[in-house]
Parts: sequence; C-alpha cells; structure tokens
Amino acid sequence: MMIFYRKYFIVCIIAFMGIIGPLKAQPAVSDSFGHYFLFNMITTDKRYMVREPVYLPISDTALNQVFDEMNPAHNSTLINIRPLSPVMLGVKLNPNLRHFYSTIAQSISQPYYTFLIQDSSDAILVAMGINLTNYRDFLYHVVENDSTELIPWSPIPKLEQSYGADKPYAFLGKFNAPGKQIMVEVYNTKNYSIREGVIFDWRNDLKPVLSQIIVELKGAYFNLAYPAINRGYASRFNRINGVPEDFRFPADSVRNITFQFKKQETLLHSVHLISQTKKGQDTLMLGFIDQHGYFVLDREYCRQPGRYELVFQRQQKYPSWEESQLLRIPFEVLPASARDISMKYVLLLAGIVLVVLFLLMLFFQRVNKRRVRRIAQQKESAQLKLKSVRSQLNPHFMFNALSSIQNLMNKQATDDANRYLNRFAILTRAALDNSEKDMISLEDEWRIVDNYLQMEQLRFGFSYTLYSDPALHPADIEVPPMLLQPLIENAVKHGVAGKKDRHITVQAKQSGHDLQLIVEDNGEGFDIAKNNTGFGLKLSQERIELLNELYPGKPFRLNIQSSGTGTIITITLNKWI
Amino acid sequence: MNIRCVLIDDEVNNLENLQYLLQQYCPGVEIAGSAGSAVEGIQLIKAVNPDLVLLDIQMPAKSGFDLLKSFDTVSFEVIFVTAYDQYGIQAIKFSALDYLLKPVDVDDLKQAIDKAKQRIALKQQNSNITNLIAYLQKPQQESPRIALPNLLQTHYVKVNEILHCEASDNYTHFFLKNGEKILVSRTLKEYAELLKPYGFQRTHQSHLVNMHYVKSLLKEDGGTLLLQDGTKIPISRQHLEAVKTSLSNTLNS
Repeated sequence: MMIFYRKYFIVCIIAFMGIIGPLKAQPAVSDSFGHYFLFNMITTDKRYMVREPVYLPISDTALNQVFDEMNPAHNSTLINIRPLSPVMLGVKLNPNLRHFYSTIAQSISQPYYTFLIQDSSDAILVAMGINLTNYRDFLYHVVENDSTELIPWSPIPKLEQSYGADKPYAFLGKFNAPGKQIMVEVYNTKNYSIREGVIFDWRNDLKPVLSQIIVELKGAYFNLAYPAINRGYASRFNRINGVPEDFRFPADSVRNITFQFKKQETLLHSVHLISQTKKGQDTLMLGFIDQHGYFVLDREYCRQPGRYELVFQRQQKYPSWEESQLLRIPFEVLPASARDISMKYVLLLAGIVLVVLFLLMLFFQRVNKRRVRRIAQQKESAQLKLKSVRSQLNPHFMFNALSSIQNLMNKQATDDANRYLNRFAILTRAALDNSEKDMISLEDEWRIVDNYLQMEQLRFGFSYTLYSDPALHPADIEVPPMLLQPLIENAVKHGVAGKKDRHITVQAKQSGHDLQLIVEDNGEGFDIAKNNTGFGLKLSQERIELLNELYPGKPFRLNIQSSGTGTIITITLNKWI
Repeated sequence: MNIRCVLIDDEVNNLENLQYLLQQYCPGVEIAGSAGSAVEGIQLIKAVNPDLVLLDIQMPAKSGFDLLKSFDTVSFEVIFVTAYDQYGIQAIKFSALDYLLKPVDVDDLKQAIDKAKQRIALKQQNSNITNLIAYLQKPQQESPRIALPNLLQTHYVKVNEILHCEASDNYTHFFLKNGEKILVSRTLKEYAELLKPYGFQRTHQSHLVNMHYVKSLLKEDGGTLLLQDGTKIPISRQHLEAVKTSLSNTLNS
C-alpha cells in the first residue's frame, strides 16, 4: 500500500501514485486496496519538509497502530503525524478493489475524501478517535446521492474492538449502495469543527453527464440544443446523453464552446482533443472539467477546418481509453462559411471605401485649398488692380495739372501759378497719403475734391457747389479714397470745360441707410449707350467692380443719367450708414 | 522755309502753352491755327492743309487717333502730345512716330520739330501713320506690323517675322525669318520693351530673341539658345532665369 499525498491532487495522482510508502507495514506495490484501513492524516515527510495530508494505511489486523504512528517516538520518514480530525475515520474497502482513489469533496472547511467502488463491494467505516469516553459527544448521518438521508443524525451506533484494536472504537457501519453514492459524516456536538466525512461511490458509469453546450460567437451565444437558435450548428442529439451527433460550424465563426456537465464531487475528468485536419491527426490534452462542471474550448484549438473530437475521461494514473469510460463529443469545423467570406469581403470593401473616401477627402481638401488660394489670389490681384487703377487716375490728372502750371508760368501769371502749384501739392500729398488706405473719411475726401475743383476752376473757369447733407457726419463716414475723382474730372473736361455758365455740383446725400455720392453737371450730356465718354467713366466702372469683389454684398452701384441738359452720375453705397 | 503747324488740344491752357513754346523756341514754325476738339481739328486741317499737327490724344468725344482715322491719306506730319496714355504711346512707338509728354520739355519739342522738318523737306509719304491706324484698328492682333526706320527708309515688318535682334551701339540689327537683315537707328532697349508682349526676351545686353523661334537651350558657354535656323544666341548669367521662365511660358502657350 502506498502513501498518497493529497495536496495538489492532480499532481499527486500523476506523480506520486506508485511511490512506495515509508511505512514498514506497507505491502509490495499494488494499486489494489489491500487489507487495510485508510486514515487521513496530516504529516511532514522528512525528505521534503512540506506539511501535507496523506492517506495512512493501517493493517486491518493491527488497527491500533494508527495511534503508534502518531507517537513522536515512532521511527518513520513521516514526522508529526496528526489525524485530519479527532474523529479519525478509517475506511476499509474490498482488499482487491482497484482504482478507488478519487477526488476530494469540500464541506466548508473540511475536505471529505471519496472512494470509487466499481465492484459493488462493501465499505467498512470505523472511527478510531471515538471511544468509550467520548462517543456520546458524536453524531453521524448517512446521505445517499446527496439527497436522501438514509440515517439521520444519530448517536454512534456501536463501539467494537476488532481488527486487532486494543481498545473499543466506534464502528459506523458497513455500507453498500450499487450505482449510488453514499456520504457518511461524523461530528462532535460540542465542537462542530471536529468533524469528518467520507464519500463512497459505487457508480459504474464514470463518464461526465452533459448538461448543455454553450456556443459563443462574436456578440452572441446560444445553447446548442435549440435548433431554432443554433444557426444550424447541430440538428441531431443523442437521446440518452444529449451529445450532438452532427455538431459543425464554420472556421472562425465561434469564439469558444463551453461544455457544461452535471456538477459532481467524486470524480475528476480530463479533456483530450483529437483533431483530424490537413495538418494531420493530433491529440492534445487540454485540461480538466473544473469543479463547477465546466470545460471551455477556446477557438484557438479548432481554427483549422477538419474533424475534431473532445474526449472526456476520468483522470487516473494510466488513462484506460476504455470506450465505456469515455464521453466523446465530435464536431466538425467547416471552411469559413460563405457568410463569413462575404463578411470578409464586406470588411475589405468597407476598408477600400474608407480608403477611397479618405483619398477623396484629401483630394477635395486640396482642391478646396487651391480654391481658397485662388480666391485669395483673385482678391490680391483685385487689390493690385485697384491700386493700379488709382495710380492710373492720378498720373493722368497730375501731368495735365503740371502742364497747366507750365502754361501759367509761360504766361507769367505768377500768382495763379503759385496758387495752382500749392493746390497741386496738397492734392499730390493726399494722393500719396491715401494710396495705401482703403478708406478715408468723407470729410477728407471732400477736401480733396474741393482742392481739385479749385484747380480745375483755374484751368477751365466754371462754378461749382460742394455739398454734404447736414444729417451726415462727414468725419465719421468712410469712403474709398478718390472714388469721385475720375467722375469729377469727367464733368470738368467733358461737361463744362471751355464753356460759359457751366456749373458742377458734387454732393453727398443720405437715403435711408444708403450713402449717395452725386456728381452733376449742366453740360451737353452724352449717349450712355455709346459709352464713349472715355477714360474717367471707364475707370470708375472698373473701380466699382473691383470694390464689389472686395466688399461683401457688392455694396457699390453706379448710376448714370445723361441728357442734352446735363449729366448726373450717382454712386450709391448700399447700407453704408 | 517755314513749316505750317496746327495745334489740337481740348485744353485752352495747353494750346496757349504750346503756342508760346513754339514761338519762343522753334523758329521757322508758323502756327496756322488751333482747335479745341477733334471735330474742329479735322475742319481746321482741311482748311489750312498744314505740314505738321501737334495732336492731343485724349479729347472729349473724339480722340486724336479718331481724327487721324478720318483722313484717307495723311499728308501731314504728326507729333502727339499726351499727359499719360500707355496704350497710346505703345501704338505710337510701334509706328515710330514722335510724341511729347506733358508738361512739354523744350528740348524734346525742338528735337521733334527738327525731325518733322527733315521729313517734310524729304516729302516722304507718311506711312507711319497708316501703320499706326492699322495697329489701332486691330489692337488685339497677335502680330502687328512694326515700323523699323533707318535713315533712308522705313520697313514695316510683322512682329512674328522677326527672329532676333542684335545691338550695335545705338543701332539695332533685325534678323528676319526670310533671311533679311535690317539696321535700325534706334537702341535695342526701346525694342525690347516694345516687343516684350509679343514673346521677345532679352537674353543678353546685346541680344533680343523671339522665343517662338527657339529650338533648344544649350548648356554650352553657360547657356546658349539655339534658334530654328541654327543661329546660336548667347545668354548672360543675369538673364538666364528670365530666359528659362520665358521659354516655358512660350512652350505652354
């Protein structure tokens, strides 16, 4: 018989089974139960110095040895052996029973050890910690299949002294319940923490019992057992164990599959995956069904199309692969479905569309930028033209003025020449000052106009009126500089020059929120349709067009009325006041 | 011999002024009359048949150019007088006519009068005015004729028939498409400005090239233009960038 380390149960099963126990009483290695009572003890192996629980086998002919083992003087590799609880349950099973070790069940703080008895033999249970002096403090009960209490909490049924014991101990009974599970619990009524339990399991079918298969997709999951919602992944199920017979799904459609089994305490099941794909056949040990009865198969293990099979079997030292002990759940991974392919295409298409949209956006942004730049350039060129128009109108007048001065000099009209030169200087200065300005006050504009008219009066000899509506505040109203200049020059040259009783009126009027600048002469007029009055008018029209390009709402309007008795030219500045 | 002169200007001041300057500085000029508008001017010219007309360009109703257009044949010399008229001056220069800017410079006036006197003495027919009128009537034409005067005669050459020009002191050699070579008694600078709107580019202080006739830009000697007739024109470093720009503009047009 062996010492069996319970800690790290799985590891123990795999690594420690078969290790020869340290006790002399141990028979030769055998995985049958033998003629022993098994006790749960906690001890430390001198070789490892790790304190851990062990199964301590005590011969069924020397039951008293269980106390000897606990004696510190006892020579053993195991030191400081203590029972799991003072109850000291001892289990005796059929000596020839094999594969009886199973998992550990937990009851709040106490682990209950379980035994598998697959040959329908009896199980004898004694409690070496219960004796004549304390047996009244203990109660025990027996529960079948975790549901029926076969024996309710009762006093210790009897004390006996056999199996080589040298004093009486509690005999809890001989149990047998084929195909079923029996749990015996014992506790001290004075101290509940003194309790111990054991589970005997006579089941023959050790396969896990499938409850449901949960398939998780992207953003959805469903119970495979319902064809209405299972996307056709399975249609036929085994009537007895519920295993799907035609479970299949497209590659990459499934995130994971959770296999849920009936929760049970006495068995541990390992999970293997057998795959048959284009990479060949492979068998992988994936893990275990967890204590809550779940096993989760990640899609990582079934990406490749092909046939798969999950095999659940009871964990034991040497996997038996005995068909009766295996639960097989086959499934097939299909090549990525058409929907998935189309999904991929949709994604690809969406990607392409996005890229195209992005490029289009870039393109339009660029076009827009270019457009903005072009508009800026247009504005700039409009500005430039405006300046050049301004400079065009100035020199024309300037050289004529200089010519007039030359004439006054040659005529020896010194006074007039002086006055004229003075006016000319004022005008030139104003032109220079204003060439950089977009706007000047109406007051300043009127001063320039007055100066100009005085000069022209000297040359051509006419009368003029310069008038501003009293409602206006000429100092506060701004107008583009020398806006009227070419029109007044026009009136002077074409309207009144060299003729008698000619008069020019220049006025600023308010009309609602509009400002009207009016140049009026009583000359012979001209044919507007022919529009061949020349330079001045053309300049003004050009300038107004340019100003309208620059100012929002195109506020400037030029109106010409001409007849045989005179010409009235009005520039309206819309909503200017 | 006195030459008979007529003054046409819409400004009395200017008429007075010109009259004064002519009397004061130009002996041998007889003022046959003056007019304040183009219409009056036409009548006056027809009435007095002058040798010379001093003509203002900008006048109300009809301009000085309009006045000239109303004559079938111009049998008089013309000196234009203008305050400021870039387009008018361009036209005048194209036809190698004389002009004065206001206020009139006495030396310019004397020189212009002297030249007019010479032409009047030679009794040349005034083809320059015909050329001017042709230029004015088709102002947008791509290839106007330009007057290329020398001492003996004036050639009228279509601008697109000029391959290139080369300076020689105060003279300019014109090399034409038909192989002809004309020597003109004016500076290259004048023609460079005049011909610039027609795709001519200064490549060198002594060279003006019609870029439409450029075959390629050679790298030799720091840049040389090869013309379609095989002529090589040097490019000076200061003109290289402008030549390249002009070349690409010409190719794109």
